[in-house]
Amino acid sequence: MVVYALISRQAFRRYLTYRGAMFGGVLANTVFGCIKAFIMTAVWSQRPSIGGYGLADALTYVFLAQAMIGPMSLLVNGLDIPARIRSGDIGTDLFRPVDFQNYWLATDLGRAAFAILGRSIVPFVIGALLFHLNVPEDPRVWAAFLVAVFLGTIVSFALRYLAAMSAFWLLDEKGVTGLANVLTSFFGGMIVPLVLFPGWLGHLARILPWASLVQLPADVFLGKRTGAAVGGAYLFEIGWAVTLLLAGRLVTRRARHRVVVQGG
Amino acid sequence: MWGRSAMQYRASMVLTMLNSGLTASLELLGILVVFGNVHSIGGFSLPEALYLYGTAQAAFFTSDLLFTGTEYLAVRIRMGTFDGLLIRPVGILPQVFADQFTPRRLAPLVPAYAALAIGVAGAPVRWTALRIAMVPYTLLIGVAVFGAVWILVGAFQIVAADASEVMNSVTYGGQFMTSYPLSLYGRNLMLFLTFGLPLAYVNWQPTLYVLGHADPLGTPSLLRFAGPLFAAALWGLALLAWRQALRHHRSTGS
Amino acid sequence: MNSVPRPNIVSPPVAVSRPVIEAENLSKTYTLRRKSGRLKRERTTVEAVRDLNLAVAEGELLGYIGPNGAGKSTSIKMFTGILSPSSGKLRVAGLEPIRDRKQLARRIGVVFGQRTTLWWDLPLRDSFALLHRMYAVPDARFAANLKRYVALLELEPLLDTPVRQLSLGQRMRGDLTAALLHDPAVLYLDEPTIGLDVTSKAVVREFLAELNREQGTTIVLTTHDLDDIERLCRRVVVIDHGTVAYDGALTALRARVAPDRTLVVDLAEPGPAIEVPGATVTRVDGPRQWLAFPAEANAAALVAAIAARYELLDVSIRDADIEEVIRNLYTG
Repeated sequence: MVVYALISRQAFRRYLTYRGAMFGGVLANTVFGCIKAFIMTAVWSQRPSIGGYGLADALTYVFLAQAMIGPMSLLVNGLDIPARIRSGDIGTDLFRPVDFQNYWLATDLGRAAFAILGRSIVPFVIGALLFHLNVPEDPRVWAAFLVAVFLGTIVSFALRYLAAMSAFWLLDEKGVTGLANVLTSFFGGMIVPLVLFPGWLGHLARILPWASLVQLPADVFLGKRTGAAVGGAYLFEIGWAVTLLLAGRLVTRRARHRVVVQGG
Repeated sequence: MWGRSAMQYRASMVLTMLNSGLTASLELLGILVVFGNVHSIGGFSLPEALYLYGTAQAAFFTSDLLFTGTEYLAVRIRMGTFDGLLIRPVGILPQVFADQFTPRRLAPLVPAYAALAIGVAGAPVRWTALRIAMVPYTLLIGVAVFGAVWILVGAFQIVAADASEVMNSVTYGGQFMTSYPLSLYGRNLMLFLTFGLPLAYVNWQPTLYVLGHADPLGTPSLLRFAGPLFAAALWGLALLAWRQALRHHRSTGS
Repeated sequence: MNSVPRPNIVSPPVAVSRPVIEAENLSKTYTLRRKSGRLKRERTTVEAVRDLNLAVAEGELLGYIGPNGAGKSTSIKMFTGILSPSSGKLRVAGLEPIRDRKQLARRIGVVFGQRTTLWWDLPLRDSFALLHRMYAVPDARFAANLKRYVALLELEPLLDTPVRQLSLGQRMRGDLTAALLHDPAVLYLDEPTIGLDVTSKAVVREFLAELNREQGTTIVLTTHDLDDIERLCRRVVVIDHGTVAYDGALTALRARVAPDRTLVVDLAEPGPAIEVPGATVTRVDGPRQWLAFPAEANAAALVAAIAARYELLDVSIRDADIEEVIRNLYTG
């Protein structure tokens, strides 16, 4: 366990050196958040309540989604696995005493932690200053929210891990990871908040794993889920996390087998 | 000739094209989803909104096709391959533009022009010869304005290679903003986009005329046709910035 | 090394003409801003190139060497128009590199050792075709050049391979061809043999020698591989601390800086260091000993003197190692 904590901290430190590039990302995050907020304002000005969300809820959702871009890596895959496969370094990775998938999970969590500090807080604060958001005052809500985010990050990792592992079989994995990103932005509610999705599409989106990324944490944050419903959200996220991580383990085993048989 | 470079990765290229096309299509789907809940945005009905969306996206992706090599200059400089451009008997900008022509950038044009077509077909417009002519005119000026922005991106990337992401807010932010009615963004932003960074001329100003909407800012109607002026001014600024950036690079070596 | 010797042009030009590269008091100064402490910024001025004087005649094959950070690449970048000088006069092929960039580009070819100037995803053939257009090389001339260089550098089987799939040695040969298709007057090579295997190095060296011999192309060769210098260049320019530390014949350089030759002696049995007048033992390794003696001295006499007192199995004489020569030059 300690090993993984160390790995996470190392990843955190590594990203700290990239803080120069962070500014551009924060700026883009904020700008896009504001544009989306304006659009949502125009929509909600005509219907004060859609899908149980009022305008303040919708605006908060927008900036929460922007805040999640960093930690959940919603726009890019963010895992180094394909690069290491191409360089051949993956050989040493696969046969280390540390569990392969857990190693990458720990690294990703370190990256996510840094992303929260570097890319989530400032855009959200600016959003809160420019627009009227629904920010909870109860610290318990914040705590519940952070747990939902943590679980969502694991789901996000599991999805991206599966996509990245395709590089073991494909010459160029960018097609698969690109497709995964597209699905993530759509079903994660990045293009349009999930509450706007019509009937069947909305139902579908709510049961897919991507709902864990933004929608469920937002539900908790906005107080749409309280008490037992929060537990239900956690169960949903944990369920998908476990399922996808198990799938990841299977894939890892096949990958290892492939490397041994084919020599990388 | 350049197209052949991407052809090498045949299968993954198809997938990448699919991805970029899919992303653009899903964003179009997003508008449809929004209109599933309301009947108008900023006073624009669905066909009108699609027209606006289509013109912005078509202009952006066409400019992306022609001018986008500049986005990668920071990477080039970091990898040390920028200097290789300086030893060729050809202008640097032309080399940069020609470099990234790949079929991948063609895919998003499909949903873009589809939206535009639906908009033209469905919008309640009293089509006159002038209005019809304004449609390709809008695209042309739109491509020109975005083109100047790409050159500014290039200049910025040469001078500030580490902060290259900052320009994303202008390029992709600009693409996003112009896809929706500018009136959504409030008076100050509208003024900025009309007289500061003239993205309003990508599609908003001429579209006000085509679709017969009043200008919420109340600017004189001549401005609807002032696109070429602002585009030319922006190009002048961009080329100046580019020259300065090159001079800076050749002086400091980056 | 303070005094700068007059350029000793070994191969005199056939006609009295201007040098193809003329640098007079060439300087390049950078201002670096560094953070010292939290908010303060320090300004340091770095003189990368300082009063560099150089005249290269047409048809020379020049070795351009120096320690890292000495100003070699900076000066080459100025010659090729990539970097603008801070002061001084610079003419290459009669042109001003900064002002006449495009014109100059037609007359020069550049090979950067580590980075390719070819198009990464394109097959070699296509890269060459692009250059054909870019440099507006007459069709017949291009075809002839392409055929010649492809044959000389054994590129025939690689013409349809994308550049990114080529090995370093193959890419180097591709870059060489690319740099020569337009018949440049001057060819600059930055570490062309680095990372190459022995065979590839030999191929490139032979190629360069022939190019200089047959075409009269002026070649400026920057390299750390002193074998390259030994085998190709008669004139060597050493750049140190931004200026010319030595400019002249390689043989003279060696004689001036490292006047000792080495006698390697294999004794019948290991023993203590040989004592003989006129030579000093520099190294002992079992039965083998290395002795340093002045280059002008009579080696035969020395050997005889040693043989009179010790039982010798074998001897050999070596000139000063060029590594040593350069090292002495930098530290001397």
